Amino acid sequence: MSAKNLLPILTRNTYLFAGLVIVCFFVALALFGLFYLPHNPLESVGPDYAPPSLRYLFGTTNIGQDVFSQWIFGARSTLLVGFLSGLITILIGLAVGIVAGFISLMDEPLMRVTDIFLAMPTLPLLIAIAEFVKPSIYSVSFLIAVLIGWPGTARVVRSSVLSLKTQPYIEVAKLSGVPSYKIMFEDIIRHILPLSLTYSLFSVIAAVLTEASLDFIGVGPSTDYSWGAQIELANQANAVLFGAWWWFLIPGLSIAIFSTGIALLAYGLESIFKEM
Amino acid sequence: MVRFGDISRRYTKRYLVKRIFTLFVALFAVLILNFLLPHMMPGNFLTFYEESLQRQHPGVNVKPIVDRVAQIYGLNAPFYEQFYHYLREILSFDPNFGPSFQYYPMNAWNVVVYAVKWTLILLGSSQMISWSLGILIGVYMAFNKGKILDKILQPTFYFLSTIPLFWIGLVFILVFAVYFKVLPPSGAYSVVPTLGSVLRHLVLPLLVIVIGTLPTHALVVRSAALEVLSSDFVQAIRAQTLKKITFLNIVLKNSLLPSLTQLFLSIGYLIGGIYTVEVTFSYPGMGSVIYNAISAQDYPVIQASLYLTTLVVILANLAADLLYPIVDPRVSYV
Repeated sequence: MSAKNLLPILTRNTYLFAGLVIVCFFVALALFGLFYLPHNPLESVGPDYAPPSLRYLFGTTNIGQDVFSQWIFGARSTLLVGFLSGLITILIGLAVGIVAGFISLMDEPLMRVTDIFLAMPTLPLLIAIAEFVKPSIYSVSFLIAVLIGWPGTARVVRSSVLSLKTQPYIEVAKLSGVPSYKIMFEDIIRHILPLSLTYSLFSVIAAVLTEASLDFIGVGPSTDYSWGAQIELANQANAVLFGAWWWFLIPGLSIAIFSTGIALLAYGLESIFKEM
Repeated sequence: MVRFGDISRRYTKRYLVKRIFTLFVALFAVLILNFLLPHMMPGNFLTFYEESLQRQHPGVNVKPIVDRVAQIYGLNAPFYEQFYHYLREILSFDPNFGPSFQYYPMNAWNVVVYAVKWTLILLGSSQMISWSLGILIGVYMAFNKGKILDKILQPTFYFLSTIPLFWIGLVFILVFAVYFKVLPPSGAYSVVPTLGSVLRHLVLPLLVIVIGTLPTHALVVRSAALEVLSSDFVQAIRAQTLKKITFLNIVLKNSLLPSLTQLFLSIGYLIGGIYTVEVTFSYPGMGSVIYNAISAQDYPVIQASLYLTTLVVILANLAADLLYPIVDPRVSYV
C-alpha cells in the first residue's frame, strides 16, 4: 500500500485515524523520555504536594518528586510491557492456533489446553505467582502473555485456519507435495497475520491493565515507575485523602487513553480487513 | 463467538462431559501450581520462616519452632510425599493450608472464608446490574445502529472498558467522599454491620464495577443482536409485521447466549479486578485479604485465597454451562 492511497483510508476511517494519533503520541512520549526529562523522576526536586504549576506541570508527590517527569518516565515501562506481552502473545497464539487448525490430530489436545487456561482465574493466579516469584517488567510481560494473552488469540487463529484449510490453493499445495510446515508457516501465516495482529492489539490493552493491577495490589515491578506503579504509590501515600488529585489522575487517564487508542486502532484495522 | 445454527451442534452431552473434565483439570492445575509456588520462591520457605520469626521475636530460640513447623508440614519428607500430604490436607471438607502468619493461631482457610462473602456480594450484585443493563443498552444500540447515540456510545464504551477499575475507585473516593462527603470512603459497614450501613458502603465499589464492566456486556450484546437482526428468520418475522414488543423479545432472547458466555468467561479475570477495587475501598473481601497478606508475606493465606478463588470461578463456569439450556431452548444436554 503506497502512501497515496493510505490518506483517503485514514480520513474515511475515523477510528483508525484517532487510534493512530493517540498511539503515536504515547510512543513518541516514551521515546522522548529516553533523551530528555525536565526533572529527575526519582529524586525530590520541589516542595511536597505542590499542585500543578508552570515549574511542575503535573504537580509533585508527597516527597516532592515531579509527577510530569515520572509520567514521561513511566510511559516507557507501561508501553514496553504492553507491546512485549502482545508480541509474545501473538507468537504463542499463532503457533498453537495454526498447528491446532491445520493438523487435525493436534486440534483436540491443544484446544483442551486452551480451554483449561480460559477456565482458570487468570488475574488472581497471576497475583499469586507474582507474589512468589517477584517479577521484573520483562518476566511480568511473559507471565501475562502465557497466562492471559494467548488462549484467546489461539482460538481466533485456529478458527480462521480451519476455514482457510479448505481453500483450493492450500489443497493444491498439499496435493503437490509441499511439506506441511511450509504450508502452515509460509502460506497460511501470510493470510492470517493481519487478522491476528489486529486481535493481538487487544492483548496489548489487557497487558497494560494487568500490569497496572499487579502494581496496585503490590506485586508488580513497581520500581520501574510505570503508570500503574505511580497510582499505587499515590494510593499508599493516601494522596486521595490529601486531595492530591494530580498525582494519580494523569497516570490513570493515560492508561485509559492509550488503551482506547489501541482499541480504536484495532477496530479500525478490523473494518478495513473486512472490506478487503 | 458462537455462530448461528451451530449452537445445538456445539452444546451436546459430549460437550458437557468435556467441559466438566476441563474444569477439573483446571482446578487440578491450580492445585499443583499452588503447591509448587512456595518451592519456586527465591530461597527456602523454612529459612524465610526462621528469619521472620527472628525479626519479630528477637532473642527467642527459633530452632525448635522451625523444626516443629518442618515436621507439621512434612518439609523434610521427599517431594512426592509432600505433595500427597498437601493434596490430602487440601482436598478435605475443611481445607487446611496451615495457620496464617499474620493472625497466628487462626487457620488461613478461615481467614479467606470469612472474606469471600463480601467479594461474592460485590461480584453478584454488580454483575446482575451491569449484565441486565448491558443487555438493554446493547440491544438498543443494535436497533439504532449508525444513529447518533450509537455513534457516541461506542467509543465511550471502548474508553470506559479500558479504565483500570481501581482508578475509577480512587476518583470516586476523591469526588464523593473527600469533596462532597456524601458517601463513606472505605470499609463495608460502620461500627456494626446494619443493613443500612452495609448498603451505604456498597454503593461506591458497586458503581465502580458496574461502570467498568457494563460497556463490555453492552458491546457484546450489540454485536450479537446485530447478527440476529441480519439473520433470515428475523427478516421473516419482520415481514410478518409482528408487534414491536414481540419482535424485541425474540431478538433479546437470541442475543442472550453470547452475552452469558461472555459474562462467565470474563469472571476469572473480573474477580481479579474486583480485588483491586476492594483494595481501593479497603472493602473486607478477598482482595483486601490478599493485599494485606502480600505486605505481611502471609503465604498460607495467599495460597488459600488462590484455591478458594479458583473454586468460585470454576463453580461459576459450571453453573453457566448448566444454565445454557434454560436460557436458550436450542441447547439441550439430553
